[in-house]
Amino acid sequence: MKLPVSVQTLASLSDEKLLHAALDLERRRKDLKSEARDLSRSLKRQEERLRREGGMLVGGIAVMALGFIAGPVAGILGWIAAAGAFGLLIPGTMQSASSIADIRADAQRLNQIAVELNLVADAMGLVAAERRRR
Amino acid sequence: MASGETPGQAALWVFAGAALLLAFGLTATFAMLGLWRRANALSSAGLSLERVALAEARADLASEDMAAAFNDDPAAR
Repeated sequence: MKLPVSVQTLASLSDEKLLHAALDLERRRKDLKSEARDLSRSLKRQEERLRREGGMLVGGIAVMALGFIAGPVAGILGWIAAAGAFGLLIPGTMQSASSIADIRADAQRLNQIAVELNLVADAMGLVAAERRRR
Repeated sequence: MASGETPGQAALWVFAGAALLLAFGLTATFAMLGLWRRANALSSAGLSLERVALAEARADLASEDMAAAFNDDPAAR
């Protein structure tokens, strides 16, 4: 990863170019922050989905258990209830691997954003020091 | 065994029940395992979110400092 501002060339920049470098850094900081906000929203959505599917799973297992208990007594209705719960659980189970991959990709990008934001902060410090030196 | 049911039919019912129980049990197990793995992935993503929040705070401070450096009036110092 490259520093947004090269340390060696800072001193040789004109005042106008130093201001442009500062504006570029400011723009980059805003872009990174807005990307982090989008990723954070996506993770919040995943969290809500997990909670919802967790509830569905518990409900599904309860219906399954009831289906088995009621099976011999209520006959076919118990089995239908259990099969319904079984059908509800399959899509969630199938999607699980892709959601985990999505969450991991988001977390990895967030780590990159944190590193880039730290680099931008360092570069801003250098620009500020150079400006004060002048 | 119910009346009129041959031993073969009774065995078939037991076999069907066991197969269904196994299928339901396996689905529930995999679903729970999937949810547990997703909860783990989300918890590590939470750490990344905290890391970003700290980096954002640091970049905000650096940005304010840089703005102050550009807005400083040398004559006023």
